[in-house]
Amino acid sequence: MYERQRTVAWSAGLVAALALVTVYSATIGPVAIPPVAVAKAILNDIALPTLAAGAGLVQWVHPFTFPVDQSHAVIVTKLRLPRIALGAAVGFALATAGTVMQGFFRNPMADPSIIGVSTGAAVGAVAAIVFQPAIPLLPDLQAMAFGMALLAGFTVYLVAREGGRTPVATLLLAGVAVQTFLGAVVSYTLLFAGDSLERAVYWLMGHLHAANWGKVGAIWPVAVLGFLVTLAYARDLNVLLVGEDDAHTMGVEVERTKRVLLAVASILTAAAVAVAGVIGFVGLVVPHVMRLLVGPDHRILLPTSALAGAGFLVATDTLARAGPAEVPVGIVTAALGAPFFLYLLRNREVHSL
Amino acid sequence: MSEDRPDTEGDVAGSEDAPALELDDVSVRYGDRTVLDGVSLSVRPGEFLALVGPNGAGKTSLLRTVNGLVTPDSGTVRIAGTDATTLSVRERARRVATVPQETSVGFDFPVRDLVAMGRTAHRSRFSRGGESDRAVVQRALDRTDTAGFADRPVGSLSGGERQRVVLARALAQAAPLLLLDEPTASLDINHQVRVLGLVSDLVHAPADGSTTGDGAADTPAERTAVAAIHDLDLAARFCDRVALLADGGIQAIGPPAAVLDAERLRAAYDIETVVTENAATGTPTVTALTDAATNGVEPSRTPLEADDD
Repeated sequence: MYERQRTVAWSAGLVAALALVTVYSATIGPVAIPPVAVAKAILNDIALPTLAAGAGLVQWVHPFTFPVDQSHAVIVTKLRLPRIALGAAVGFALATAGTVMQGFFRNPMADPSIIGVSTGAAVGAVAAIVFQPAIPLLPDLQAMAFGMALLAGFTVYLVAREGGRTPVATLLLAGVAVQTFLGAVVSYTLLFAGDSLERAVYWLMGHLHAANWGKVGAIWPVAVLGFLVTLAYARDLNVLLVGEDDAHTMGVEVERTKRVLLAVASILTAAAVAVAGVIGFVGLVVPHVMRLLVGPDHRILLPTSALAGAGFLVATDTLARAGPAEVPVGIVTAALGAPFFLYLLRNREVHSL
Repeated sequence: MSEDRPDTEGDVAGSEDAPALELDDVSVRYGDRTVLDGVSLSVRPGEFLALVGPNGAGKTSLLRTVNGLVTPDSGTVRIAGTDATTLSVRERARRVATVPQETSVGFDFPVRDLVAMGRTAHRSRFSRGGESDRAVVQRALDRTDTAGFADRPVGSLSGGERQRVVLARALAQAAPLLLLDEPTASLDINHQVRVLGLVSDLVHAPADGSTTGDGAADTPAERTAVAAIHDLDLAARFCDRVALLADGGIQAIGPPAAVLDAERLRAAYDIETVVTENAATGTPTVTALTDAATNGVEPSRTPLEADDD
């Protein structure tokens, strides 16, 4: 079908763009590495599982063995690639969550943090940073951030719930209120930060510099799984755009669908914020731009937004670490994203969904 | 549109004698305001029923108890003999399609995609739309005369075109019972007549499209329509029966000529009216008189000169 072909074509193009950005990003750094060497190092690093004949064990086999400078290979695969992979996952998750939130709220200003998830994560992370050595047995930063993020989202949902329904407007307002309250908690906690103030503030700005393969391995499964669930609900999201009452009369279980979508979007956001801090604007701008390019149908909008989000965050993070001193990527996304968004606002139809 | 097709009225699969829609002592309260007060109503298959009555009489609420947007506080709604509370949202959407009052679809879906949304209740989450789905959508577009702009975004259409698209969406739902809430409220006279004429056709000559052998779920054998209509003349002209609602109850129900009389309308609408026979259509025409007019003129059978607004 036409729609299917369009989705495949756009997705293929965006995957290619992501690959290019990845290779280019890996060449940038204190040690300049030529693109060809980067590509070879990445290919060498690919391992495919194969069943060893006798032992009955899965063995990892590297299909490519290009000759590459060993130090270059280490820099690419151990330092730069995990950061790129983490950025891609975070962008992927945030853009997916943003697309869902905008469709769900039928509000162009909605972004993944709208129901308080990001601010919840901030409370968890800042508490971990500030109280970590003092209070024993505190879970680690990622776990604290993730847990608090979900707690905040769930609280907003419960507050907004009345008589079996969760009106979208109430949800939005409850989200704003909870965000404000948690913002105060973050500020208050920072008062006691002392020596860890710098670390806490740096975390709040959103960054990818502490990337490692462990974090990458933790977030990608969440991002992909969450994405697949939202994709399964793409048609319901389309119908919800027409209005909740209409969706109900067309056979959509509105409240259940909203619960699922809200939960998935919250988990995606919580996971992204837990590993990378609060990175603004990706979840807001990327879905808007893709909507302009591919239209409002979530069957094509969701995959293209997710891939574009991945590429966008890798690109902005490259920019963030390209200068003489590294800048938190959250600053770059906001500094680039906001003017671009204003440009779209003035020149195109961003006001509608 | 399809006048020369054979009528297949007799051989409806499972044509029990159950009414297409039955309300039994249905009451709806919003807070301490009673909107529907023990309403009982029966609509037989193949009938086009108009709900008329003043603003706030409960017309929309009545429709919403049928499509499930409102749960009655007491009483039973039966759809083709089945208690509606036993139906899932999805099952109900296969039996009842709704053309909503507001069609403010302010976004850029192409007409065909919007109409295809009507198939939601017939598709599983993971299946793609099959050939039969597309055929149903195409038939709905053809039947409503919207196929010509199927690829245009809904936002670019006029109000009349848009209303026909929403009707097409309801047809794609392939439900035997069609509810319409003020389908003509924002339309010019041309489109008012076209939309209601189309609904009347759908009900009275339901065999749209040859049964392409792709399953009974595509086109219901017999359609029934219930429409809330403000315009009494249009209701009288297109509908088989008229139910007059006021104060949360049905004041009268029957053929238009029997229900629409000055006495009942005065009780329901609190205004003097004159009911005459329309020279062009032969159906009742209701003319409302202003207070000034009624002071001077005896509520007579000569309404024309009294009409001063």
